[in-house]
Amino acid sequence: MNNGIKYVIIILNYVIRTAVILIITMVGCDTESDQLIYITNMVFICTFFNTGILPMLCTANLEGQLPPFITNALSLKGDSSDFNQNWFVNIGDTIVGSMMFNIYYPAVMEAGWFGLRTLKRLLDKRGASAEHPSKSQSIQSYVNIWCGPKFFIHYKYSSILNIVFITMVFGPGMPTLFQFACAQLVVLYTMENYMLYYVYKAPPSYDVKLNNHVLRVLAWAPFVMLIFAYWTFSNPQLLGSYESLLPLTTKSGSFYNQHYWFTSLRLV
Amino acid sequence: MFNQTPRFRDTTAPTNIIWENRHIKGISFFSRMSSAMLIIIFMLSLAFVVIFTFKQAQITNQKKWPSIDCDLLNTQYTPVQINDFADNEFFRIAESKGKAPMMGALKCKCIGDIKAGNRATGYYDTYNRKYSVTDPSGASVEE
Repeated sequence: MNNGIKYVIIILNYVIRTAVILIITMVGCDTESDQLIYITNMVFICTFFNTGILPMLCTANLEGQLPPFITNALSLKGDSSDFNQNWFVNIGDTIVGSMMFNIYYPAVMEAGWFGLRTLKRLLDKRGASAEHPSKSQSIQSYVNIWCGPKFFIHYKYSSILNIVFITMVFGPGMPTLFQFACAQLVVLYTMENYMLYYVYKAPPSYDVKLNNHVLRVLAWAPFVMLIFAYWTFSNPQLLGSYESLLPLTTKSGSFYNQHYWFTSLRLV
Repeated sequence: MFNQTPRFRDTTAPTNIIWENRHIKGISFFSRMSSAMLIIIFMLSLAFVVIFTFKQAQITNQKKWPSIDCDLLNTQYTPVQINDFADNEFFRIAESKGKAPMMGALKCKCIGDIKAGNRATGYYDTYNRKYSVTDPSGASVEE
């Protein structure tokens, strides 16, 4: 159970990604590039929300950060009042675990699909003779069994966006994410190059619209990193620079360290 | 052309057009997209419930059975100290009927016992036998 949450996140990401692709395809965009952009955006938002934001919200305690009616309505009264020891143990560990699992996940998935394709081809050849080399009844079913899968560029872009944004958001607090992100991108690059040349069907000629869109979104990653890095590095628990400490009301109560966004920005 | 300068802009490439969707425009497209968004938000809410449930279970488990580096504990405390910690931990858990979280010393003591070949008697059995019949001061009344 302690390690299960990262697998749950990965499985949910896969299910949601598949569902989002199906739903956006059914919306009925009138050009391929528009459809690809919508799918890339939505898959990225969903996977980022699942991997980075949801685990954080599960234990977030934002009392003092937000007006009481919001914290009460959304029940944001968990154990983690900041990027503190409790957060790193409970949430940071899950995020790092998901990122580590994502390194070998594409290779494991491809090994699974490869096995399935090989099995289908073996079944197609079983009992075949030199005169009838395939059991397929039509050329189309023969092609379907012997050609590779379709190349989808949208969720590859979403994966890259997700890796980069998760790393930029949580990397300042957990620098190990940068090496995991690097490993993920190398694995993804190697796998996709191999698959594109040897496995996938020849993809259509995509225009530069989606590529430019992804580059524009990626340009926001350093800005998001600055915001989260400022918050992380101004944490008194991380810096050991307490001016005063609030005693815990109960033994299991949340730890407060006088770290509020409005005081960090010198608004109050 | 008709006293105006013509302006040209790139049209969509024919292979880029999804011809069967050309008629979906304006309010029709907007309503389809809104429905898609609602479905996606619903899916994310479900994901939130699933992740929240797993996360809470994980945190409860971690509090009950914390991960501890026994080798490190053995280097920092003497066996007598670890035995004392384990005793206290055992009684605290016994008093709370298993609800108090584990601290780790008891786990390390049990692992040590098992490694030393005391699995048959076991820490729990030993202490259960030794302290199961005691008076309020803690002294055994069995002897």
